[in-house]
Amino acid sequence: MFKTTLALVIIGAGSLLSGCSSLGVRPWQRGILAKPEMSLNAQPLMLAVDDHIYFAKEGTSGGRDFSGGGCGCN
Amino acid sequence: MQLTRKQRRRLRKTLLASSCALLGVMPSAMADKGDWTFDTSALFYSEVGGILVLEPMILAKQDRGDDSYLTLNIVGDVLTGPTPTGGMPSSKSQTVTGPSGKKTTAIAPGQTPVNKYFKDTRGAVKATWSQPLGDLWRLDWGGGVSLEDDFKSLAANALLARSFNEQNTTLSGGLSYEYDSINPIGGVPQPLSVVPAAGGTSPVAHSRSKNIKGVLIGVTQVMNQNWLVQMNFSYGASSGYLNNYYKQVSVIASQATAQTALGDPLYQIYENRPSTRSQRTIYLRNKVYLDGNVLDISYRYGWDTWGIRSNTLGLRYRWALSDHFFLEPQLRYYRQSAAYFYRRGLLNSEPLPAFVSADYRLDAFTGRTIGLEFGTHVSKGSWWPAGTLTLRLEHYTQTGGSDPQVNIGVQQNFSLFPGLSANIVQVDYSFGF
Repeated sequence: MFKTTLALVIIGAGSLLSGCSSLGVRPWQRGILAKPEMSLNAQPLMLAVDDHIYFAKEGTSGGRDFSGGGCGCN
Repeated sequence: MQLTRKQRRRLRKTLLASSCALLGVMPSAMADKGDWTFDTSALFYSEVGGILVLEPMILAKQDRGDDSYLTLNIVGDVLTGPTPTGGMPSSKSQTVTGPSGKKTTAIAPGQTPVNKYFKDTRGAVKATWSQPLGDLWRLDWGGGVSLEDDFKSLAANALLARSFNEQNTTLSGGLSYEYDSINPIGGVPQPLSVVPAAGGTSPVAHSRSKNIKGVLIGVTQVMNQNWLVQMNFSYGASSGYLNNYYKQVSVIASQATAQTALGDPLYQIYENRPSTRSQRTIYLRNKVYLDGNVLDISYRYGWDTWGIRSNTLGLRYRWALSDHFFLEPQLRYYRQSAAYFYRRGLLNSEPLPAFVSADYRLDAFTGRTIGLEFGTHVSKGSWWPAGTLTLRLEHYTQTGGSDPQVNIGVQQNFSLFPGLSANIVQVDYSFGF
């Protein structure tokens, strides 16, 4: 099951990569994407707190980052 | 005129800021080698009738030059208050004795049993080093230590990323490893053994351990000038002692007797979970810039070998009120199915299963979060540096299903899912030197 999932992800990523060559912007068009609020890791401690609370209170954790939580709360 | 080192640094920043303004590049790229940026935060988490958590945090990041960064994260936790034992309500009053066997909690008829004296403190430190490898590759690696009264954790991880298509596509892959040492107060109880009425745990060992191996594969794609997409696949394999040593399962009367009503708990046993678990998630996130505002929408599907399947939807909208203020409403919806060995309780007439847990986090339930964040830029003051102040208020609830196998007799009068209602306040201040 794991090998199948991994193969699908790799094939999907490969397809995405070739398909994505027509997407994107030129370096001088990155003004908006470079704004701090557009960062995928904007407000890292807010994101970390969310991950920690839901790790302690729900059955599924992780996804955005490495799972696990380094605490005995689950 | 001879400029001092500080003046030269300020001039360099001003020139760089002007160039960046023309190019539209983010100001954080202006940091000099050795400069620090700090993100400090305090969390207050309070459950209605449940635990209270106070958690201060610091995230410090230093520019080490050549696009390399050192990040240090320090977290403290203080947790106190009543926490459900996993036991079922009774038509009579019950007594919960803590694992130390010293403190007892009286539980009124119809109330969900809790350990009122639950208390824990935690300190954690994490360090990450991030550096480019040539023009297209980047390596992040680090480790962390987390210490609690009854739990110690060591973790390490590494993530390698490569850019394609003029840095519009980034592929990343990483590995993580975590080793946990578990030292329950009163020792490790024998799984499925009867909880002594006088408390204590009849320990079979002082400690146990578990490890978690993780894989993370991700793609980020710039779609256009205003749209960014992230997709991750994560895999985590846990093995070792995965029980929650304080959680119990009620064994209830399947027939009424002169002393006991139908459905009343007769005694409690310690839970037992499988010693391995594999979890997988697929995570998709979109960030879209809409005329000064930012829409952040995410979806996650998770599934594991314990039978839990979950769907999570997240929605945030950063609404810029002006150049200095923003409001961000936040919504989150989470729904999971139950683990195959979850039981709200057991009947005294049925054989003991190999695995059973009444931990509500393994039950089928729905979690809902509604929140509002307010942020403002703060000018430099007499004793504080210029930065961004953010306040977030959230309300989180869980509502769950039932267990028809034990919804008999007196239990039909009680709620079989303890439910959760929590209020979250977080204050954050980020600044740099």
